[in-house]
Amino acid sequence: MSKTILIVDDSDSLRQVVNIALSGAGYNVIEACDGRDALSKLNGTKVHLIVSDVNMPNMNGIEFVKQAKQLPQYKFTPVIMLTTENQQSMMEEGKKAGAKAWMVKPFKPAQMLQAVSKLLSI
Amino acid sequence: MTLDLSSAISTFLSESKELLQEMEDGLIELESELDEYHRGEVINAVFRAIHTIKGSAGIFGFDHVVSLTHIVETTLDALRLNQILLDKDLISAYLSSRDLVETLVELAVEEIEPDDSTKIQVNELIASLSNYINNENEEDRILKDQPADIGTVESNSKWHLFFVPNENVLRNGLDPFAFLYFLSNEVENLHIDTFVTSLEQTHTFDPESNYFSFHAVFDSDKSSEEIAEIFEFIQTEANISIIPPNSSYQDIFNALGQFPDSASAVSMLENSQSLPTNYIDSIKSGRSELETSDDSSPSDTNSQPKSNQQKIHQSKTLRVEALKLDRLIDQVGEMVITGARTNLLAHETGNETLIEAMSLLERLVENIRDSSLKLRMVQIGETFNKFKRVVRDIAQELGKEVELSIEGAETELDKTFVEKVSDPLMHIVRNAIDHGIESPDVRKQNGKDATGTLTLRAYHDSGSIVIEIKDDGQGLNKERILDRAIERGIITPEQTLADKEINLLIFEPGFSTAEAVTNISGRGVGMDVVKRNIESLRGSVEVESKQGLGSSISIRLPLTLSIIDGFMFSVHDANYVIPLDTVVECLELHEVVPEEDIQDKNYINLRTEVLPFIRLRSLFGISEKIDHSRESLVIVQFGTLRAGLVVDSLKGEFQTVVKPLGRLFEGLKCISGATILGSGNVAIILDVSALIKSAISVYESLEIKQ
Repeated sequence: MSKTILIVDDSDSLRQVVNIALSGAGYNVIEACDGRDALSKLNGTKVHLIVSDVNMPNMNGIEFVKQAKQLPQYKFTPVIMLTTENQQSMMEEGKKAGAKAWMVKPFKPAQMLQAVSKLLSI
Repeated sequence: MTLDLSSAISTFLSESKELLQEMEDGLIELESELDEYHRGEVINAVFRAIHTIKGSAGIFGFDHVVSLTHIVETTLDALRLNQILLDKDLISAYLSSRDLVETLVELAVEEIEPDDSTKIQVNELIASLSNYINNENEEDRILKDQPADIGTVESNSKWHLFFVPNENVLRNGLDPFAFLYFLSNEVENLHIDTFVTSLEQTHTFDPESNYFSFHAVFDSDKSSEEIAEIFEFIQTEANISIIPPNSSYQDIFNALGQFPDSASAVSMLENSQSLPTNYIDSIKSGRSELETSDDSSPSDTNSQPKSNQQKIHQSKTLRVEALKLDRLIDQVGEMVITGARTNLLAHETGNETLIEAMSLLERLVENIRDSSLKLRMVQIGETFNKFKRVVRDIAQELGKEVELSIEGAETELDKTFVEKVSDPLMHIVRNAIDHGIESPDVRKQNGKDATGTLTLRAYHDSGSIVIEIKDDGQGLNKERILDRAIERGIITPEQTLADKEINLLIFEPGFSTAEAVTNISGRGVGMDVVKRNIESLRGSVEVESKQGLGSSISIRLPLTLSIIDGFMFSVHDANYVIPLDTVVECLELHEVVPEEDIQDKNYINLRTEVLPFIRLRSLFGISEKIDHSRESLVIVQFGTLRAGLVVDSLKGEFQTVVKPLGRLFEGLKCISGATILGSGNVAIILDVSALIKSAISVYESLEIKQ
């Protein structure tokens, strides 16, 4: 069974690229445009991995991950955070919220695939 | 790996344009006075826009876009941390960056390498923006260097790593030893001390819990990021501090402060004997200070701007392809026609229940028509907002001070109009600033405020939307307009014109009163194109002007182009439709005109108002006459003009699906389209504004003869 990945980013084009790359590698992809949207899409769906941007309208990535981690079903779902801010404080906060890995934008789709497969195999 | 990203790239293009528009709106807003909170929010919005573009552009490998957006993002980041000041020059630099980013994005999407002049512009901008932060960086470095200088000691030449996995690490499926094993492969001279800290009593021992913590000392020429990467996936489950060689005492002290159980951390450090004893002693004695300091506060202050962002961007919208919408409206149009036909057939049967059911269905169809037409309606505010930038730029270029005020931004109109009306508006706005509003000195001499005001206003008025562009400048100069019109051969010196007509001369082709041709307006093209464009949308233009006080140009457009509420009447067995909103009232002709005058009179006295009227039979060249007592007079209004239309009989309200006429009929005056009736016959839709004008001109030419 192919694994399902939720991608949360406010940029349509970024989501599309990640979607193309991940679907091409055989994953199921669900897209959400911000934290609030992502939470509503989680709602019971089996998700193996979450990829989330930090800087988003409505609900930012950190807040979203915090809330998602409170739902029993997603407590152990690994999270990759995407950001262009390679800042210690943001990573610190993301870590507290429960993110497993960080990916600094811009990244190549191949890098994303590598990180995803690494995380899903642990 | 190659991926087909073409669809994503086109998304990127439209997304970038939207974001750049947001950025521009934000920047213009920043120019005005804002309170601290609001200002921070706007800067954040601008930052996020450019940040998103940079992120996406990087993925597509659009390097030119990335390099420019990077510097913009960096300076904006410094700005939101109040490290640099936002002045007019910086805003201008941002605005030009916005334009350049747009160009670069467009080029990148087309896979065209930017030309040299663009590249030079980019480099200049990058250089000037870098100036802002380079100054900043130097100061920053000085600040950072000072404490570091004090603490560095040569003796701590090794890496230190504190690794304290939490109690649940094993339960969560992570093995701390795997990470240490990985570390041992990556670094040299690794020495690890293991501590069992929290195990106190054997009966509370849980075999699934972790009780170990580690302190590692090693040599490595890797960067601290690379070392941190090794522990990337266990970050959430452990406290990790990496202290590079030659770190200051402060760094070590701070790193230790992150541990909940700092006593054990210190003993780890002591056991390893890799630090000078005076360090250990200082740490031990400094511990009391450590307990009071709260290290969570810096990250808290950092989260502040993040939560502010959530307040912008609330309205929920759905993006739909315009083509799909057009198809829907087409289909609704067909449904309206078929509905009318079915209704007709139902009436023929005389079946009461069927007729009742039909009328219910018709009402539903009407509702569907209205709501699907509303889908095409967009607020004009977005179009108006673009002018903030235009007004600012033009005013700056001409050395004038102009304030733009926007009214009725929430007024809705058809999306097709929005696209087509924005060019004409641009011309009018440019003209208003260039010719209308005086320079600050002249304004002061005339006792006006140095800053001119340009008002863009939109409102609904009897079935049409009116867009008004009003300035408080010098107004139109009638003598100069007349002189110029005579000079250009548009009118003859003998002609006497009403004020309204003089004003309309500015829309004649080849007309220009500006003494000097500037590169903003006054090339003599433009205003006539404006008029033509608007008339092609079945709209009209009116000008009002008061010498010395300003002028105002009103564009009047129908609400929609596709389906309208029509009013049907017949002339010589053919059916005609006019928009219902233009009908004021209907009268029996013989009741308002005396029998003896009925043939040659062209106006009536309607409640003391002189009202010209036109006989559609004679307009259409039908010589056959009918009994006057059967003729009706339909009074129509368009804008401020009124006239009467004499028709054979009235048919009443009719839902009209506007079908454009073929090219053959393009040149015909007074006809704007056609529609299909329930019976399958075709009815002609008349252009009311043209009809009124021809009625007025017939009346006036007769007046002059008499």
